[in-house]
Amino acid sequence: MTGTSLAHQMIVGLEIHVQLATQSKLFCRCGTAYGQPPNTQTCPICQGLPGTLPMINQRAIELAIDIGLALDMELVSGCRWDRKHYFYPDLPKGYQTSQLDLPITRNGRLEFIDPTEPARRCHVRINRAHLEEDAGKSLHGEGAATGTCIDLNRTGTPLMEIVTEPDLRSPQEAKAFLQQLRTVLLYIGVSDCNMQEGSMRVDANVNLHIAVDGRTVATPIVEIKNLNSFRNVERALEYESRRQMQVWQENGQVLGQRPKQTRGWDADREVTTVQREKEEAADYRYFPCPDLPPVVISAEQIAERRARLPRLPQQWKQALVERWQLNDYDAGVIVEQGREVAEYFETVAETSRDGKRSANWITQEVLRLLNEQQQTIAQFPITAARLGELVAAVSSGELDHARAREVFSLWLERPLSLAEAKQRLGIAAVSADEVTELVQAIVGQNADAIADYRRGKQQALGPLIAQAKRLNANVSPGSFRAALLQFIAEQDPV
Amino acid sequence: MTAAEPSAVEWTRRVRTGEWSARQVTEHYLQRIATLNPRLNAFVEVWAASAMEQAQRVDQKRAAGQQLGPLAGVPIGIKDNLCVAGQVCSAASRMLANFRPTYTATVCQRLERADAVLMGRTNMDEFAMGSGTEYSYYGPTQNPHRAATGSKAAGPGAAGSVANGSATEAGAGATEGYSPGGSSGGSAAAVAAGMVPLTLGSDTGGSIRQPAAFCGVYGLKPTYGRVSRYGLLAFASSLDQVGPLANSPEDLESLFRTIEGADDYDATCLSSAAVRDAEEALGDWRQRPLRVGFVAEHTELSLDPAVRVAWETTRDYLQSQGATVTRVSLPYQAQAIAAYYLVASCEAASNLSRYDGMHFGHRANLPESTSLEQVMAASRGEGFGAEVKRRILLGTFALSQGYADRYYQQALRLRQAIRQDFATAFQSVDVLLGPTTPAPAFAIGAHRQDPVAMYLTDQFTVSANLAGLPAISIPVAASGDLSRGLPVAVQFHAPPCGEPLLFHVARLLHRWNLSHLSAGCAEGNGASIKDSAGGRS
Repeated sequence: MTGTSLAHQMIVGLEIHVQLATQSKLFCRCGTAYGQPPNTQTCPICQGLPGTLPMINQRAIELAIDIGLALDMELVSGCRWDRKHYFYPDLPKGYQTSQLDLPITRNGRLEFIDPTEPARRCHVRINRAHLEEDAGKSLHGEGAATGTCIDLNRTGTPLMEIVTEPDLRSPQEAKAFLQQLRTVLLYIGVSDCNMQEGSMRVDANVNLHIAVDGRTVATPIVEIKNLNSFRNVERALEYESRRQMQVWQENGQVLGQRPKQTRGWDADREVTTVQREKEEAADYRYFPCPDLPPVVISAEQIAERRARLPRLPQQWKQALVERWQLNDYDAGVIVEQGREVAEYFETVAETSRDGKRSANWITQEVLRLLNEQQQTIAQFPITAARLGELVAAVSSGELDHARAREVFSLWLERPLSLAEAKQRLGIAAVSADEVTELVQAIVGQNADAIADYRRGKQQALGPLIAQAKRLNANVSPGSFRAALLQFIAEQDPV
Repeated sequence: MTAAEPSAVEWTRRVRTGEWSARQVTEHYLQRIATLNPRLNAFVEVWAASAMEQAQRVDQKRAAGQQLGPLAGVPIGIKDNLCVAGQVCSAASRMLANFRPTYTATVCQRLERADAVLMGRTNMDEFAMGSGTEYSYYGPTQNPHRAATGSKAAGPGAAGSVANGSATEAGAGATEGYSPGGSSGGSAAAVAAGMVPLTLGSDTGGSIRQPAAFCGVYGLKPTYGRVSRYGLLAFASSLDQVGPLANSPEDLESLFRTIEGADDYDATCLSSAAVRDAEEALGDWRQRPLRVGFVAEHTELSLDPAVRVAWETTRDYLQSQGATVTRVSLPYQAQAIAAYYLVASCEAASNLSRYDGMHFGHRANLPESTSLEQVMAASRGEGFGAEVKRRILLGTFALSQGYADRYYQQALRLRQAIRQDFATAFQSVDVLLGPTTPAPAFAIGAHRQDPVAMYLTDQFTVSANLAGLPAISIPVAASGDLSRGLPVAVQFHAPPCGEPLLFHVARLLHRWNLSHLSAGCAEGNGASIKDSAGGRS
């Protein structure tokens, strides 16, 4: 795509669908596990069998309240359910139960770090977040059938649709916001936010404000549907920005001159393509669902959820800095990894009473390995308590760093205790007598080096320390060096 | 008319004492159905085999010395819009002619638990939309009090000509017989003719009370939320209630007690605590004379003389029994029909969306290449009858963008005003007395060319649904001349959870019916049925 780019500002608002981490569906007792055989997690209710009625999963309400609290939103008691009508084979009832006029939460905000200027914080206003049920899935030409099959396992799964104001100004900002949102949602445990499995899906509304002759014109708004990774969000927005500039330069059409267009992102070709113009879109004929009473949220319930709400990422970071004296950067790195890693850190630090050293072990050793192995902290073979013990041993001088790394490597293979690992690696305490014997033996074999040292060549002792390590791997270089110097001083023929 | 048949309460007593076995009772009624149904078409399917099995289980329970449920051995007819696992439930529609639900409605589960015997499904207007049981895929049901003479074509598809409004016989009323009312016409006719002692119906705008009035039986529309709707094929969710039809107040109450109560599967059901609170709010009506409200607006309407006389006589009788009667005003009563048809049609359009031939309902037989949209359109076009389509179109239009405010929202405001009217009235009275219908039963086909005239027969019944109140239709013996031999009824409304008040009034009037007007006409009406029934012996 070519075309000179005028000064312009990108305007982005996002709609994020998040699957709530409930055991059962929103309106029935069927399970929500991913990847089960088609139609095995269904019942008359989520199949939409004539005569069935929805019943509310209170857990979904609780998680929705948690999201409201975490995003600083107003919680709406008496929020209503509405039916959104359209005909599609994966929608057995012919309508989706959602919330239109009175969503369960509204008017919130979320802060995140400016991707171009880490010292600066941006914030995005959240217009609303409402509950709704997911539809089923059409399987085209899969399995034994030649035509299209319908899997209703996902039907009725609770979703929270989070809608931002158009406060984002670049693809990078959109991505940074989404990462922060995901981190928050993971910390409060309301969703696994697994984008591959579809438990977090993003739609982006985007247009450009272009500066022309001292005034600003806006291009028509485009909605890019179903972006399934943050990278795709970023790339689709980048593409769309270039495309809208070019189209505007070609036809000069501005906001209001054409209906809102829905486009999809083709990740292979790296382009967005038209899905439909809104004027052809269905009239959903929303109306209040007569089968569900409004959801009453009491002040007591809010207080209870607030009291149980897990610490938010910001609060974690602050705690790591204040309690364990981590610097902002290290605290940030740990917190960004998610609540499990932060909790892992906390246990290591509690056990070792050495926050700084614990942070170093985790950021330099543990996270590197997790990344290499594509593992989660839950799968990591060394428990936080054991790593804490190891860090404590280093802090107390019981182990030097090199030997501690040997223990760490061994632990990756076998779940041994520290004592067992030391024994297997031959790590034992070295007595003062053993050190003295070692000094005498080495001095005896290295008269030249001693003489060099005496003549002022400090570095002459280095090879002697290495030698001592070879003779006894357990000897600490510091204690050997001290003993050696003392021996030389005593022998000094002054 | 049905005095010859024992009540449900009496049958249970006989089964308990062992005078009759449940199987004998069931056989007796299966025989009655076999004799009467060809003429009346009240049942669209009889579950003879499963009914006999249920009866046998009751007998075995008794033989084993186990406690029997409150409706032990009583045969019951189920309206064709209530699900029983494994049995067809069609809502009298071609759309669902082959639909067998995999689950059982809460009310039917409660009947089974009460040891009742489910006899089969009763005829109705398609998806409960209608006031005459004429719009049925299985053809119309006859009013037992004035059934058509000669054989009639009933059975699947028989309704074609009626539902499509293309009557083949001109001036058909006389030969086609009289309507039992609707939509629960099959249930009302079955009870009136003594084909079963009890039936379940559903009432969205009068669908229990109006046929009960037309057939001369008792019919109750309970307080909204008092009876679970789980397993009732939805017509208009905020208006629908399942309720009982019976030949006596005692039977009516015993069936109501069996089916009512909170249900986890229906979020709109009232909790036991809410029912207790509402019952307490009724006050100490048992300790003082009954306060009856006489609706002023009704007196201004043009009513059939038989209905007017029955209504005024009832008022006078209650007064003679010590009740105080005062005139009360329901100013928004006149708008009830308009509000009702909007709300009901909007909800129906939504509820019936699921019948698209994909998951449920008739699927048009089209070539593979046909588009999804065409398959859905053709399936709905073929599967639904004319009246159902009319209401879907009305509801879809009223909910469309740009119109919803003018129609649906306006209807909701009216609904609120009607609710308020009742609340105000019930500050000074215990029950409201009025007619159930403007006139006795009409001839089948009388409203064929004019659906709005048919809608107007519901003008006194829809407000109870809009306001969520309980209401009962009570047959009162009227002058046979005035009503041309057809039953006449009055209706009472009560405040929320005021069912005990309604049963109380029903018992008072039942005694009056039995003692005073000695059912001279009623027995006369019943004769034709008894003759037919007698034909078997």
